[in-house]
Formats: sequence, structure tokens, C-alpha cells
Amino acid sequence: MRKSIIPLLLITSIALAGCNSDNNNNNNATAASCAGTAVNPQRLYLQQLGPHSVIIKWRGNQNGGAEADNVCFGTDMEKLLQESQTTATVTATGHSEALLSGLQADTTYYYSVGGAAVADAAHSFRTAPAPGELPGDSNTRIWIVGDSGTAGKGSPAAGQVRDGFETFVKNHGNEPADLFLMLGDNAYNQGTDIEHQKAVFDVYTKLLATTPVWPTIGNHEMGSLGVSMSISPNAYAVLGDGASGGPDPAPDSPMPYLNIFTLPTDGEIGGLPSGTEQYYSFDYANVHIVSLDTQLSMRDTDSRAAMLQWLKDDLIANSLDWTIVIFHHPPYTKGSHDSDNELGGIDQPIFAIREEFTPIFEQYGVDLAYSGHSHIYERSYYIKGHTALSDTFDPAVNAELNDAGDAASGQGAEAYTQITRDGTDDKVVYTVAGNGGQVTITSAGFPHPANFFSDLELGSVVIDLDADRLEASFVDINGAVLDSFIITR
Amino acid sequence: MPGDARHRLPSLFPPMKPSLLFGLTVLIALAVANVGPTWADAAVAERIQALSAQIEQLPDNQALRLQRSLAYIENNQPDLALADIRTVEIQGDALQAAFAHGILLFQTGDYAVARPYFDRYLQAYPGHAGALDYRARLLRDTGEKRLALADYESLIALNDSLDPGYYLATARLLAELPDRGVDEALALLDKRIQQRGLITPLQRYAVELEKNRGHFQRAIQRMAGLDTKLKATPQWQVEVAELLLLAGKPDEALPYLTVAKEQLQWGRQTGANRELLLNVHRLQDQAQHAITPGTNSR
Repeated sequence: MRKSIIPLLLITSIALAGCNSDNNNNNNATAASCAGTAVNPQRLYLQQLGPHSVIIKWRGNQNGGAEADNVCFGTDMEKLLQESQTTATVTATGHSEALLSGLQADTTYYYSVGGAAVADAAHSFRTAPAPGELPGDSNTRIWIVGDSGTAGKGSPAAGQVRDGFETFVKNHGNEPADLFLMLGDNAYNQGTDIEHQKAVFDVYTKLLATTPVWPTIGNHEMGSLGVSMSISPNAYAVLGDGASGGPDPAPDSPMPYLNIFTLPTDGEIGGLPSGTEQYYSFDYANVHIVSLDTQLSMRDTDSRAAMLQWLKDDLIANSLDWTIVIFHHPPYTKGSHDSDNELGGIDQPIFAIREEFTPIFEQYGVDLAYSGHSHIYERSYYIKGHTALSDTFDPAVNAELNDAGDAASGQGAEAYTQITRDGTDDKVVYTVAGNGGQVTITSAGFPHPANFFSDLELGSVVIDLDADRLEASFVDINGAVLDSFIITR
Repeated sequence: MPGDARHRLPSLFPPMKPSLLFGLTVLIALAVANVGPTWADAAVAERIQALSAQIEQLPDNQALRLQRSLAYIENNQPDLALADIRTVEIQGDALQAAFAHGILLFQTGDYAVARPYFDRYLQAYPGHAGALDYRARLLRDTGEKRLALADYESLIALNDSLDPGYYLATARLLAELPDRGVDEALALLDKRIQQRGLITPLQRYAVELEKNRGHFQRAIQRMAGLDTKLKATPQWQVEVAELLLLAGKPDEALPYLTVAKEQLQWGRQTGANRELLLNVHRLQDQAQHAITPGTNSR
């Protein structure tokens, strides 16, 4: 739950007016260093990282002592200046949030939770490039995992997937992720605070200290009161004796996801204000990213209408080179969920996203759409206009074709172009990446005819994009690329 | 990527005819989940198994049975859920069972039957946001506008973080009730926008309300209140032009259409922009014809 951060913004801006990322200049020789003691929180993560600001969020102290109440930061990790010290606000669920503002775009900063003079090398972040600009290395790398929340149940799978990504990074220029996207079902089974600790913060500890995480809501973030069909954060409740945690205390939402993550509601990092943390958008360099709420807002007519209108306007107002949408329920799947089966209402969002939202994606220039829910990797052709059941998919009508008249693969000579053969930017590649913590089964009719590639292997997705080219790769637990495609513009 | 390697299953799942594959899938699912043929989610199936084992040990524990009923609802097994709920209603606390019974009937679309269960539960727990949430939607969808409005207003008073859909629903109900009306709806929308910033769907609904009652100038003023990023788009120019045409001001509409056309020449080549350009041409003709009958702007 987002707290008022305006006072902090003012304080930090004033504090930084004289030192704004000039920690390396000559004045620093005489400026006072921070004098606090570093604290290693139990959870430490970055929220809403933009060109000029970031929220550092944490809770707990691994050593069992007092929790930190401030952060010092700067560009010189050996000397964090006193004047950078930023006091955190504390939420009802005990999370501390420090908004650092007045930062320089595309610049590496170091920070110390607790306000020590010297930063831990693992505690750093690089601000986003100015909107529309490319990062210094020209490439933005995005890491995406879906349905990864199995670690709390004792599964090593999410850790293996993370290791696979790290191997990939090592083998591909050592470039770390700039953004970390989570596709929902981030913390099984009920999305309690404890389950988030085990499945998110204990698995991605190092990454979260350096890379902003941008999530979307899955059905398992909604507790267990008719869990998959819950219609509102108000319906959050848990089954059992509470050993895995329960609802969060008032005045925060009962739903831990909304309290753990501090997400933009007012277009803070670009994008159009959504007025809710349940769905939002943001900009990073030359890419616009939208996170939709297919779990709650999608299940009610008025909430869905509001989200759809917001999406349309958000996409109309977007002028960046690339557009990516993430949400939990996949429009085209034959994995552990079947996009031809509404399952008595449980998978109603699958139908709603396909029938009402995919036409908007295609009309308004979305390039890629990622979802989870089905515990499998499935990647579509470059498609449009497929809003009905799988047996209606017709490559000649719905897919970008190659020279031979077959659906193009997106690989090699069949790489896609943003402006398609129709002369319009009217197609989208849809990927199900619900294989970040488990792979289970397929459904009747597997594979879905809209999908070029399907695989019951654990893994994740890496997207590399620059001004003219985007490459999306399916990476397994060994760091090997099992599928990839390219879009150029 | 070789064609035959594009859709891969582990060795446990060798390639086979779809019908055989489906059969095997169902068998494995059932074996794992130990539930009926509507198996939906492994995690839910696990929970049902665990609860069933506990109920076997503690057959009189109604709380466990109620929890299992909710898991059955989630697992698309309404009959089994109902059986558990009925057992609790007979042997345990019928009030606690009422909420679960209401949810079950809401999910199966039996709104009329579901309502008394929520009524009963809310009589005992009037501030229960979850139950209010279900009943508000149920009442809205069954046309009980006044009662629905009361529940939505209670929800808004209880929780400041509701998504814009709640405000849209409440504003719609207000606008439809003659003794409340459009002015109250607009006041609610404005208040929320003041609290949370320029939430486009709410402002757009306000524009629609003004437009529907013929207050075109006010609608135009509200269009000017949309987010700056949106106001920089050709879409916005076209919408303002449409309102000006409705207001009988074709001469004022034309400059907006000219700007939109210019923007579209340089804008992204999306399907939406193509359609918008066609709309610009249509509106230009309409405006020109209104100014000088018999002329065409292009």
C-alpha cells in the first residue's frame, strides 16, 4: 500500500539540491560522510525505478537487531554523503520506504540501508535512461518469470530457473537485467506475506537489491476464499490455521501483494495514471510496459470497463519504440490451463483477455504480451484477430506469413517486422511463461495452433531490445536458449 | 528450429494422438489430485487432499469442512462444495456457512438464491467488506439499483484504495436513480479525481454524462481536464472536434481536425490511427458541410 511520499520527495530534493549526484566532485573531499551503521534487511528491493528517482523498500534485520530507518546513497560507493541521508516512512505492515529523488538518468548509484558511509557493492542500482533515450550500452535487458512462487513449498525449481538466467547472462556479455517482471502466482499457495518471503525475497535476494521488480497479480496472490474467483482485495482470506500467514492488518489492504509492492498509480514513472496499484504502466528507456490485473479487475464488469478504457488511453498516449504488456491469464494456451475451457468461471479472465483486450493490443501497437497461469512455455506466431476458440485459428487470416505463405517463425529470415506485411503495426507475439517454478501438464488439443513453440521445461524469458531490434529468448535452467524470435522496426 | 521439435513434452509424455494425450493427461491429473474429472489446479487439489485427511481425523470440525467447501468452489466442483456447506448448516454454525453458500451461488450465477445468504451474513457482520463486495455486485447485476448503491457507498467509505471500477459502478448507479442523478454522479467522480489524480476512465465517464444531457461545453471543458499526455494525441483532438460539432460549432472543430491530421501523418502506423484518420476525413466533411452546405473539405 502506497503511503504519501510527497514530504519525502521535498526533503530529499532539498537535501540533494546541493549534492545531486555530484558526490565525485571536489566539494566531496570536505563534505561529511554518512555515519550510520549498515543493516542487512530480511527483504530489500527496489520499486518504481525511473530516470530521476527510485524507492528503496525493506523490512527486518537479518542480524535480529533494530531495523534501519534511513538510507544514504551516492555515486561513490566509498563515500556516501550525510546530505544524501533519506528517512524512510514505515507502512502498516512494517515495510520501510525511502524515496530517493533528484537522481541523474542512466547513472549507477550505491546505497546503504542504515546509512553507513561505505556501500556494500551488492547494494547499487542504475537509474533509467531519460524517456525515449537508449541506455549507455544501447541495450535494455528484461528478465521475466511466471508462476515462480513454489519455493515456499520446498521446490528448488525457481532457484534453478534463476541460476539458468545467471548462466545465460554470463554467456551473453555479462549484462545484468535492467528490469525484472513477475507474471503472477509469485508466492504459492495463498500469497501470504510469509509465502512472499520464501518464494520471492529468499529466492531473488541479490537481484532485488539491484534491479527493480514489476509484478502482476495472479490467482494465487488472492488467498483462498474461492481463491481463483475472488473479485476484490476485500475478499482476501486464507485457509488453514494461519501457519503460512494470514491477511494483512488494517488500515492496509488485507491482500499482502498490494502492501509488499509499491506500484505507480499516478503515472509516476511514465504511462497514464491508473488510480490503482492493481494495474499500471511505466516507461523505461524506449520501452513502455503495461501490467494488467486479470485476476480481480477482470472479473467485474465495471472494473474491467475501467481497466480497458485506461489501457486504451494509455496506449494512445504512448509514443515509445516498443510496447510490452504483462498479465496472468493467457489468451492462448494448451498447458495446465486450456484457453478453450472457462472451468466454471475460474478461467473467465482467459476469455475476457482474448475477446476484449487482445483487439486493443493489436489496434494500439503492442508488440509483446506475456502471461503465466499455465505451467508451460508457449510462444505464438505474430498474430492478430484471433478472439475465439483454438479451432478457429487460421494462419492465413491471423498470422504474419512467410514467403511460402506459411505462418512465419520469427527466426532467421522469418524475423518479424513491427510494421507487418499489411503495412500496419497490427500484430502481437503472445507468450505463456508460467514455467518459472514448475511445469505440469498439457490440455486436450495441445499444442495450441496459434503457438509456434511449446515446451514443458522449466525456464524464463529474456528480452533484449535497442532502438531497432528486439530479441526474446526462452532460457532453460542451464542457460540454454530453447526458443527465440526477433522483431525489427 | 526443426518443425517436429517445436512442441515438446518430457519423455513421460511421448508424442501421441491428441485423444490419447488427453486421456493420459486426465488420468495423471486425477491420480495426482485424487479428485473428480473437473480438476483445475494442482495447488487446490493438494489443499483438498490435505483438508480431506484432516476431516477424516476430525469429522465434527465444521471449520475444516467449510474451508474444503471453498476449495471445492475453486476447483470447479460446486456439488461437493454444496455438500460440505449443507453439512455445516445442519451440524454447525449456519451463520458461518452463509457466506460460503452465498459465494458458491454467486459463482454459479444463482444471484437471486445467493442474496439471502449475504443478507444474513451482513446482518451479523455489517462492515464485512468481502460480503459487501459480493452483494453490491449481485444487487447491481439484478437491477436492485438503490440497494446496490447503498452497498457500493458503504464499500467506498470502508476502503480508500478501491480500483476505479467501484467509482464507475457507483457513479453509474447514481446517474440512473432519478432522485440522486447526474450531478451527484459527477460530484463523486470529481471527488475521486481530486483525491487520486486524473483517472482517465472516470473523467471520460463524466464527459459522457455531460454529453448525454446536452452540456457539450462542459464536456469539452472536462476533455481539457484529461492527462497532458493524452491531450497531446490526435485521438484527443478528434474527440474535442466531435463535441464541438455536437455543440454546433463546426468552424471551431476544423482546427482540431487539422492538427489531428497533421499528427497522424507522423504518428505510429497502427490500426487505431488508420481508423482515426478515416474518422478525421469524415468529420472534416461534416464540419465543412455544416459551414458551407454542399462543399467538401478535401
